[in-house]
Amino acid sequence: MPHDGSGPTTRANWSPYDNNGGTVLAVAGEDYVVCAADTRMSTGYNILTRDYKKIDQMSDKCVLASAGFMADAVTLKKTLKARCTTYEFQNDKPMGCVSFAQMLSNTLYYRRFFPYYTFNIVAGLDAEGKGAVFTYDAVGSYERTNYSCQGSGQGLIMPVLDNQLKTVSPLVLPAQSSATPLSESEAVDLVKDCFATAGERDIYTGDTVEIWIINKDGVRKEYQELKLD
Amino acid sequence: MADNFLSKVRHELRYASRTFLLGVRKGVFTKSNVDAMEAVKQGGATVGCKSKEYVVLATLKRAASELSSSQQKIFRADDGIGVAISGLTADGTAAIRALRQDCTSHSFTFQSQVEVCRLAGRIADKWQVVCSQRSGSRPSGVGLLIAGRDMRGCHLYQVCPSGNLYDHVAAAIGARSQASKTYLEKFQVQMDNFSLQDLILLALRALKEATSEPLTKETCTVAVVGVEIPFRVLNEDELSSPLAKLTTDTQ
Repeated sequence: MPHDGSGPTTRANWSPYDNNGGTVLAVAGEDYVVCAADTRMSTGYNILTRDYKKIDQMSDKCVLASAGFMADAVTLKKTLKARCTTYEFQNDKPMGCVSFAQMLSNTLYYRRFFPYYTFNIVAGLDAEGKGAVFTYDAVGSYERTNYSCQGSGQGLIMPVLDNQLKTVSPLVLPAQSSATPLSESEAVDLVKDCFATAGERDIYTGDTVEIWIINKDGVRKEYQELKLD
Repeated sequence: MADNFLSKVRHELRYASRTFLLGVRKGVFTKSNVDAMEAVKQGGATVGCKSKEYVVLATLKRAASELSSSQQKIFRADDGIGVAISGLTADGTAAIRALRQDCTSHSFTFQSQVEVCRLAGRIADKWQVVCSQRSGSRPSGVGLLIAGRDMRGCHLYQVCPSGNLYDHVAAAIGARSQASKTYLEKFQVQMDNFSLQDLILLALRALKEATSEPLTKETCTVAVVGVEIPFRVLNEDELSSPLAKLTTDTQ
């Protein structure tokens, strides 16, 4: 580091990353999955846009929601979408949710030493039609769960989800389904409440919530207004 | 029938093994071109025709024997672009792989579908290099009919192993394709205004000219693409109505 001996050490003040804020979350049910993200994109204490979509469809029944640095998120999604297209040509079937989840993990770890600054959630239906949620860190460590939250509002929302959705551990025997027993509309209502909660105290979450609901009939979207402050 | 099959196999073996001779003889490029064109001419009949809003591809399904499945001849390259091949299927599959890769990478870079003429032009240029500028490889033994839609409308291109590129309103390649071409020529002006159903009928009737056997849903494949409709192969239900009309044809 540059050091002239007389004053404090100086440091490079250019970073390749920026945090554009935002929160994403997903909840898996027996035969559906709900994936939601706010639409605010910020930098520092400013808002860049109130209308930014953080969720993109990657395959038939599989979506990717990303919070964090949007330039990295956009490129990550472009790359993965192209890979999904190639997969479909080569294997004569759309890429499944579980396969996509593994591919995302590999893609993120490939950049272990200059990561994609994205906090991702993959939501979709697995091969049996059950809801699947996969949650990631920036370098690809992932886990399949029943619900998850990533982004700036994670600390505010995750405890609420734990309170409402935490069920018996999947490791307990005899095997029981640990998918949430909530119905689709109950899950959507819970998601709306969670974003309203986070929007109160997290400055980076607000404007609108985009909610994707995926079930055997396809993909449906709902929107909920949030506070603009 | 057996003779025909054997002579075809012999031709293919000769053609495919010609690579090592290419550098030695003068005028050999023309000769290997001719072999490649011959491979296309011996492939199963493939027909394409377009109107202002749609392009239709129709092919005859051919199986190596009664015990085998028929080879796939129509492939999707992108949402708005599809290809029908005629000739050495292995070369066709390699071409499809290149076309698909081209489409995907263009979409990735430019966030929009590649123009059909550009896609066709790129593969034509690749084939031209192999034919005329390189001595170590043999020409691709397959002809392509590329059907697609883009911002400029509907297109039908033919790519030859030599690297020649043709822009058609209607085309036919493969065995007995001249009969199909003659049939299509009669409608070269009217087909511009055909509805989708009429265009499909036209393609099937043209395909019928190239074969002495009746067309059934087991023996032919039809694909459509249009300004408003993405590229797709018609399923058996969609084929039954036009095929039924064909059997009542008195033409």
